[in-house]
Amino acid sequence: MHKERLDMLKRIQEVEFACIDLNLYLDTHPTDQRALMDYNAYTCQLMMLKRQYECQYGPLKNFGCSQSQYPWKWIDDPWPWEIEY
Amino acid sequence: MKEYECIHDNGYMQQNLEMLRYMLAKAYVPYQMYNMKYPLDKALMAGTLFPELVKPWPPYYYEDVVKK
Repeated sequence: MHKERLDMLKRIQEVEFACIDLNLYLDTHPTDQRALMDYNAYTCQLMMLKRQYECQYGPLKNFGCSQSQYPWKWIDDPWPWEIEY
Repeated sequence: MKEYECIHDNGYMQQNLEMLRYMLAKAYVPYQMYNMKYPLDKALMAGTLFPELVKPWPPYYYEDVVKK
């Protein structure tokens, strides 16, 4: 698999992890404005990264998160869990 | 020393209470503050975005902590 694709997936994982950790922090610190700003910035970044990845390489999830080109892209190899890093 | 109304009227209990006054431990949890964060690639490796949650406290497990 192309290094560029793997790098992109890695970056998505990193940003998504930052989002979920800030999610947990904000659950107990709902008025922390700096944390909220970072959460919003990372969330925005995450959505853009995913959109960019899916345009180039196909869907990350099977339904509900993004539209599919024709023909239906989800059944194309590799499945997300078959990707080797 | 606070006064107690003993259910069983004996000096033994009063003596025990007096001892407990000095022996009881108190637990506390410091309130987490968002002052620093790891670079995102380090955060994924460390399993947390927050350096203050990584043992040993301090110095932190990863040194290149980003000051906000």
